[in-house]
Amino acid sequence: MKEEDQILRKVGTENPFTVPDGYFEHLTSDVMGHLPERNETEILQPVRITMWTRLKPYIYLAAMFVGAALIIRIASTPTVTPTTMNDSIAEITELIGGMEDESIISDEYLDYTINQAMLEDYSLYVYLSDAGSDY
Amino acid sequence: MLNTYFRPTFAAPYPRTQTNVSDTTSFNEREIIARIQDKTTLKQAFETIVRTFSEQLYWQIRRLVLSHEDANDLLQNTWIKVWLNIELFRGEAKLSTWLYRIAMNECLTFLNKQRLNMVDIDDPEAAVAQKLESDPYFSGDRIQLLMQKALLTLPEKQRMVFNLKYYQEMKYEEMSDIFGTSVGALKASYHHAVKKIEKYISEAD
Repeated sequence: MKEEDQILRKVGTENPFTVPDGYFEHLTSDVMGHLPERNETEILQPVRITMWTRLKPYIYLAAMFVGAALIIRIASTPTVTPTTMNDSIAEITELIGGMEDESIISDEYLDYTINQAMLEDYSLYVYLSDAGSDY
Repeated sequence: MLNTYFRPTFAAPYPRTQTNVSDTTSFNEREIIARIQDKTTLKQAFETIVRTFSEQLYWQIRRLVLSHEDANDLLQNTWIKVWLNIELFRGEAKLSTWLYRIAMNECLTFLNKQRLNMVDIDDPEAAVAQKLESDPYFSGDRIQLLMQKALLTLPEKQRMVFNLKYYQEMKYEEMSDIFGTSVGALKASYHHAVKKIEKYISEAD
């Protein structure tokens, strides 16, 4: 570079700065003497990672899924147990069994059936009583 | 008595003199890094690093801040930072690059503060140059003083790039690691600096 050559020719690279006598001889000991204490325990001792620390998040995650599955299972289980359901069927069969004419269904039977079915659906009533046939 | 530190290292046409940098050829960086990791040998290894790099770091700092007292303070601060963070050095970059980076950052912080303190002064460059003229640790002649004045007109980072390239002939790749700037940008920065300095000196001479 032309400009660089001109600077080199005019100024050169001589160092115009000086230091006090013996400065560099004592510099290393001076620097070492001014160093602050290091917190060795904090810096040099690595944090120990145990197996429990490593597995903890996965165990918590698994426990969360198990808990959620239990809640879903409990919430979706029908309140009528198989035993009570069998009892109800037996009672209904008994009520119907006495009737020779299936078209005649008593109000007592209808109320009982609706209650047991836990339904308030009018269409069920219509179906059982055959009321819809008039229309 | 004052000491000057010159070491001619380059051939003609314009032999560049360099500050008397400590001999780093016998410095085994890998071994030093291994000794740093062991707390029983840490302090001894650190002392070796200080002995090896203090002088060259001092001269780089000195060329930027000009005053010996400021350079000495900044060098001490640099070593304290290195000491407190030495375990962070893993050997990904050269140790000298890491040290220069810390030293240059210290200088930049100092120069920014200095600039803020000189806001009220009409001509801060002239004030610094005047201070330099009366400095007992400045032995330069008229043209060298002119060179220092020309350097003061450059932005701090450009001055750093110029000093590292012109006086130390540092490779752009190494400078790129120090400043985190691309080689192309550094080349451009040096080119601009050279042009400005040459123009300043030619006009004043």
